[in-house]
Amino acid sequence: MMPRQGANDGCRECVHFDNGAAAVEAALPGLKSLGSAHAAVRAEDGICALHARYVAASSTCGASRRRASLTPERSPSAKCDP
Amino acid sequence: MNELLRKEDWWAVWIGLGLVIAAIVLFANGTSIKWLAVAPQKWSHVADAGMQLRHNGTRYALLGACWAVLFALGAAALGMRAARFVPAFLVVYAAALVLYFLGLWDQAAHYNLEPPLVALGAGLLLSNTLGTPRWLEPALRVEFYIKTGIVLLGAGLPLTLIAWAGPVAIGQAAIVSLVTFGVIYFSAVRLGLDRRLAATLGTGGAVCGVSGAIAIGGAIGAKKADVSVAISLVELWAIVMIFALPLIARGLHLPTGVAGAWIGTSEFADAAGLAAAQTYGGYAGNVPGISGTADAAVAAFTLMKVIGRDMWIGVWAFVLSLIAITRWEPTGVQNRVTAGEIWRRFPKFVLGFLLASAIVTSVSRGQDYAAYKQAVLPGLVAPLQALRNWAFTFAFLSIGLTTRLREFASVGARPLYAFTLGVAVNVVLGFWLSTGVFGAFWNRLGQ
Repeated sequence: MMPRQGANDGCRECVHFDNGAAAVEAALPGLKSLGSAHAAVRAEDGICALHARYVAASSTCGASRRRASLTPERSPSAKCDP
Repeated sequence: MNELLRKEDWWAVWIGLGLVIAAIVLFANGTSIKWLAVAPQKWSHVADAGMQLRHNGTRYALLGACWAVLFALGAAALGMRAARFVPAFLVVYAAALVLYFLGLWDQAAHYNLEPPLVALGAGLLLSNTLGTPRWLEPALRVEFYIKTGIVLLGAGLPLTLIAWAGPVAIGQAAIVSLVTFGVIYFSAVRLGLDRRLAATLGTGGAVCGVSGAIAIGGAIGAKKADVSVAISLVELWAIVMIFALPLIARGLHLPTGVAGAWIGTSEFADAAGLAAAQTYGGYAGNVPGISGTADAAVAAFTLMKVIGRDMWIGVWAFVLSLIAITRWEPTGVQNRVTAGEIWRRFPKFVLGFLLASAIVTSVSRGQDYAAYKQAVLPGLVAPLQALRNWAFTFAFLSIGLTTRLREFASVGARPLYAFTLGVAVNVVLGFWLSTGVFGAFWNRLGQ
């Protein structure tokens, strides 16, 4: 998946953003214990590697780079098993 | 449509309501789901327990297979590998079977062997000494099990009871949530912490624990490390409260309904609170001086926590994200705020809980109390309560096995101080409201 430079289409489509459940649970230790990355309350939030923030998929920033191919909740770590 | 299959809340609804509907269809046709919904009975000697197990071996095996298929379907839709989930789940089921039996030993209460506490303690011991085996991890889905159990719990609560007690629960929870959030947020800001961290800590402590922390963390764009701190603090205090609240309530001989309301006000996570409430419910009839029914503790807890607190997380997310983009220092990431946030973050399993209650209430309508006790309770409601207890036991076991105490060490002093102050205020205020202001009301729930 080659990133397209300069696009600003929101975090959902950004190469720096990962909202796969496995990635979110790995990034937030303890989440699985009394919560879940599969919960409805998480909506589509994910990790922004560029800003080291936990952000909504609808957020935007000037440094976003769009991925070439997209799925609704795409992540390099789509499968959730450890 | 996608969300209906890709969120755990919805799968809890499908599994829970599916079981409720299956139970009703069987009941309407003159039979019952109770053959499948097998559960241990009280026993005195190991030989009695062994005989129960041998006598119902086929039923226990089929129940385990049924749970494995249902949860594996959900797990696969959520992106987990069913082939790894099923064997791990069967081990969880076997451990839950042992704990369920242990809880029904007639000396269990005498030795303080309440199943939720034993499940939690054994899990904590294993995960923090030898370590939880990695192959077991796919099946340790605390929230999936607890949400399914809460949907099934709805089947045992008449809708009229929810309508009667719901407004009081919402009122009491609103007072405690606003005060607790205020204490944590303003003390954190006063200690020099970032406002986004302060808000994430505040909602973690005041609204719905870890779920509150991740919902608000995402809505306001908190630092990843700050969300981790909030999760750790919620877990730390949630684990302490699982043991502390039932212990204090037992010492004060609180009626089960009152204790359930207090736990619902002052615990931080659904799974942790249900462990505490179910533990306390187990004292009814076993510990002298504790009045009320066992189910009253769980019912009062659920009304307070699910209806009074969890349901409102979307509103908190909407309001705080609005404040974050209009009042707080920018972060480089711009959030978009719409009222749709309220529905997007709504914990959908609550709908399943309410629907299960409405369906069973409508089935029971027209039956007088004697007919209800003779037919509906043993043929429909009691088997669903047994299934609920199974789902809760899977969750209690998973809490301990997924909690790593060493993770609590890295939270930092200032977040710990702010959160702990909120915990102290929450516990005292929750106690006063549950035992004093609304004490008579919650006591009546248990009669």
